[in-house]
Amino acid sequence: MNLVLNNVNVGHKHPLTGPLTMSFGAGGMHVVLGANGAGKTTLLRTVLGVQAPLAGHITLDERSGFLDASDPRAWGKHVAFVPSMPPKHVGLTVAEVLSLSGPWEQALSHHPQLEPWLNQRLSTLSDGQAQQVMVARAMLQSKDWLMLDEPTAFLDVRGQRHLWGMLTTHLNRGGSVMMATHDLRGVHRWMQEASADVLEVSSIHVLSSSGLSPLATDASLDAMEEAQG
Amino acid sequence: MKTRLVFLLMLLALCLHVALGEVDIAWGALLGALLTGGEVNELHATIVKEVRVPRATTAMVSGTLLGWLGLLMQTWFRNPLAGPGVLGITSGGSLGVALAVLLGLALPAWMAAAVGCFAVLLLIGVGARRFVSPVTTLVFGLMISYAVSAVVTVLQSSATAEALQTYVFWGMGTFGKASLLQAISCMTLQLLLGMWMMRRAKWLDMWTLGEDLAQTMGVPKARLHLEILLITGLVLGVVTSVCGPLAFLGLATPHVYRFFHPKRGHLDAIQGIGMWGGLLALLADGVVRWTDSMAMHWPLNAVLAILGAPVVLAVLWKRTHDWS
Repeated sequence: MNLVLNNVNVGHKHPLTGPLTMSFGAGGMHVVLGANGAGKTTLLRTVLGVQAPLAGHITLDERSGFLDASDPRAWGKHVAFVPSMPPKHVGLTVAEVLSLSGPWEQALSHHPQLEPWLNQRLSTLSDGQAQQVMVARAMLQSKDWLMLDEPTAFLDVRGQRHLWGMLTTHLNRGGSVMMATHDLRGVHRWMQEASADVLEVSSIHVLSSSGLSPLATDASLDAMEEAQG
Repeated sequence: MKTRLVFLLMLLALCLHVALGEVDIAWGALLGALLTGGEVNELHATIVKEVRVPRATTAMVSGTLLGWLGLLMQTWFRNPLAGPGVLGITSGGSLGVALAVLLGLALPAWMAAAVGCFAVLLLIGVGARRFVSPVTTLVFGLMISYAVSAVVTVLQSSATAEALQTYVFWGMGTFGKASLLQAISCMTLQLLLGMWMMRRAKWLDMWTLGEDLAQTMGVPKARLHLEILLITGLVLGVVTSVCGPLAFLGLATPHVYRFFHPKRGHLDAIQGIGMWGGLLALLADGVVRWTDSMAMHWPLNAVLAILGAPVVLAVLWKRTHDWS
């Protein structure tokens, strides 16, 4: 299902950008770049339904009709979130965290690397390990859209590689991804290695006060850096 | 430590609490008389029915309730040092009693405390829609506490020595003033709060993962917030009016439980903390009654602080970064 923004203004009281009208293709990797303060997180929170848009509608076009972000219960079945920083001070074990969103056995079948941590508390894992658990949990919640807010910000190179790998798994299963990030290198490498089918529906946008401006998915690192400003 | 063991210890403490005391109850004769319908020793029956049983059950149930509220506050505020007192409800109770006692109103202390608690609760209820975040609520409770202690100080400066003493005694807390009816009210609340918390255990688990994430997982933040505020206010209002402003039980009990079970979700924690709360309250009141029998008369809040403060410190010392 495509994610559709229709004349959407995001922000707190004052719109951060002009009205956004855009369709993000199902099955693709959609990267949102932008300088700090451009409103990437606000846009993601709005798309997640945590924050209401100042104007406009955000919908998923489903065969049976439209889903609207203002209906959290239905929205949560198709849109799941991975925050930038894995949560701290959590008494739950990895298995318990996964169980909040579905059977943990199912997560293991896609991500066997989680197995040794199942009975450990989330707080005792490294950031990289915990972030993998959070992505696996989000994939249990939604088979469609994953929204990630700078998911690699606190990860080392190995953690970043694991994370991109898990996102590839999600896309191969027919899911879609939207990600706000500063990890240009990671984006660049991922886009170069992605299959043609996925690339066709993927996108890179730069968010600024004038709106979302597209970049080619085969843009060079330099071009991305320049566009991000 | 197994939860079942804690449960047995709690029951044992409850039985000892009822069985032991300054008056030696002739238990064999009393129970025999009750069973066979024979002649009952009126004095013994009255002591058991109107003194020991209300006191013991109130102690146990209040401990459970405060432990649960502590867990709820620590989860909601994601802060290991939050306790039921942070909402300012207990301070409202203090203000009610201060006004009644120090101005000489003809109102029993428990009723004045209830009025004070529910006045603050009403204030919270009215403002709830404006308290968008836990932090706002925290600051609100803090400001209520400051304002109350200011008013109480002003009242104290012109109060009679006798009124002042009544107020100070109320602030020391006790399980000993509870009537059978009050004990039963507390038990009813325990049932209600327990059922509500079990129902909300999953939401509370999700909430520990983070505010935004919990919302995208289906936790309706505004509704949960309102439920927590109103239920905590109601329970705390009743407990405070019956037992006075009790310190440390709500704050310390979840830490004691976590010390033995660091790895538990809310569903388990609710059961475990309920039992630990009951056990700790009975132990503390046991100490109070023991000092009473030695004519030392330690106040309940002093015992709770003496037992509770080192526990919290020890727990924080051992687990500086790790709590839930």
